[in-house]
Amino acid sequence: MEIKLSTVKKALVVLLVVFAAIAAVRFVLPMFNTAQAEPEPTAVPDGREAAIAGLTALFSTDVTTGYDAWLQSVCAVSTENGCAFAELFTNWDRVVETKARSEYRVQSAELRKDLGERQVWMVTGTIRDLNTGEEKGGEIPVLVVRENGEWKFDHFLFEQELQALEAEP
Amino acid sequence: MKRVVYAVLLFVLLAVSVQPARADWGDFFDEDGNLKPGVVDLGEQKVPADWMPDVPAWVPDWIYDGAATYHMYALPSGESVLLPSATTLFFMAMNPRESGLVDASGQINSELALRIQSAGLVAAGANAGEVLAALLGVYLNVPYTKELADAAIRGENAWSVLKESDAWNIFRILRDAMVQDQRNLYLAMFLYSSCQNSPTGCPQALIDELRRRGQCPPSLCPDGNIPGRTPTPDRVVQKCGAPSVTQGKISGTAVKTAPNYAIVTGQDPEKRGVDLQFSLTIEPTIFRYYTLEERKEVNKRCIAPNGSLVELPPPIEVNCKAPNRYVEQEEEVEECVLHEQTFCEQARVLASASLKKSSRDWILNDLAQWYPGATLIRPDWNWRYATGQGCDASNTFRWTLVQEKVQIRDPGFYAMTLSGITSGTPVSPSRSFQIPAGEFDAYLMMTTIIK
Repeated sequence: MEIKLSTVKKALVVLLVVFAAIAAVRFVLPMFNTAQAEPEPTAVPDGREAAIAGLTALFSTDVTTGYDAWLQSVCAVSTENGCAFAELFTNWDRVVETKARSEYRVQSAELRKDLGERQVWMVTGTIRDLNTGEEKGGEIPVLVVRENGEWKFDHFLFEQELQALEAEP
Repeated sequence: MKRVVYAVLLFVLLAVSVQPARADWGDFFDEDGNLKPGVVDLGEQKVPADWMPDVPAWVPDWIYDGAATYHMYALPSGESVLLPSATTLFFMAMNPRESGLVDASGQINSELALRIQSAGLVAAGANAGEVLAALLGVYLNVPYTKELADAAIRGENAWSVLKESDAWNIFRILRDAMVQDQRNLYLAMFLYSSCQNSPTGCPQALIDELRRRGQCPPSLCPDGNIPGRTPTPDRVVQKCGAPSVTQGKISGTAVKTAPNYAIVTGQDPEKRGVDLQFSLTIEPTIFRYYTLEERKEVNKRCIAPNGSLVELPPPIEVNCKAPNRYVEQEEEVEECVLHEQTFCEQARVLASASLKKSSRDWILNDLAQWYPGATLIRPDWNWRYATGQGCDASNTFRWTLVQEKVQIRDPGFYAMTLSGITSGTPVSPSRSFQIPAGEFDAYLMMTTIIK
């Protein structure tokens, strides 16, 4: 049996075959080649949340729940260095003496310096004395550190530390 | 084994000194490192220190109070030994001049003698840099000891040296040093020829203890035993009243002295900035106490012939007529005498200026609508070092700071605050304060099209 096509029809068939081949290469073949597909890059969350969580835990205290509960809440969101910072400097006798109960709320946080695995955030917030309702606060620089892909609170920076960091290129 | 190690360390501790001690270490400790009888153990002493690092004034003092912490021992003669905590020792080494570790010429301060546990590293005559490096390295196990010590001796910001990742674990390292010593065995000891030369001064507990023992030397108790510091006899309290202490009022002011209309740095090509002046005054602490003093009094009486007392208006010697008899008798009576003593209460002061919340909100909301991206650049300022401070003849403490050409970046109203902690006095404890001292404004020039 012999099939005879006109010249126009032949041209249309050739075009159709070429289009089908291109479509197959562009859309169908990749479906059978999943091993070479590149995953979408996962966005690494920055240290903002860690800075806020750490500072909130550090500045929020309740004499009735005790030192261990407070330290545990700080260390849960901190690096080991940050946990040691809280241990070294906190004077819990003063918390007991003043019957301190306080709550810290953050108004804003801005990235001040990005050093790769470390970031400095300027956090603005207010400490509310739950006994008197008095509020005080302001801006404070906070160091966060990325450990195993997770950002953690390290400590709030002393003025001299911040100056040294600012001097870094 | 642990005991042997400690015994060896303590032997070394008793055998090595950087400088010849003015007072003998053997007066404090026996050969086994035990405290000798007669030494006063004053426990933990916290003292305000300018050289401790700064944090914003609003950070609660239970998290950080800027005080140096020492365990203190003293002899009745006033010599004292200070054992700084790990963090205090670290910050002392970071600020050797300000903390008194080295003197102005960079040499280990002649006011103190130092004993450390590392005979190998620190020998007699070692220079200050080596001593600091040993303090940091041997005691605290801090990295970059030489670089840190060199920077500290040069008066540079030693934090700049702590750049590498292991150095960023500085607080974990310090905590481990303390945990290892169970917070009891401190790391280094500083011996002062007198508690008056030491960073802690002479704590009230020491003076009380020496008074109790009747051993307070004139250098510490120039007025002898202050009645009231030793228990006041009940008879005096009942007759005259109890002793009292009135702490002096702490007051502060802060003003912008120039210019009248300050504009923010970005619009101030001459960088005029603002001039600020802070002043703090602590009035003297007054200690009032009574003593019962005997006084001779002439008792004038008019006696009737039957021996009874005749009541007469004065002058009795004129009004007492015969047959009554005028009698004059000298008697000793007890009288309450009020004494007042004043003490100067010094303080570690932090002056701050902070952009008010209403101005912050205005920048972040209103201004940001006019100028997208408008944000806060430096809304908080802190200053520590006074232009002048000291006690005057009336025992009033005055602290002043003049800060010129402050380059304000954020427009708005600033609240100025004076905060800090006092040293206390021999009759009153240390106290913290935070005083709203004034406010100033910085302007932003804006263009408005008037149709």
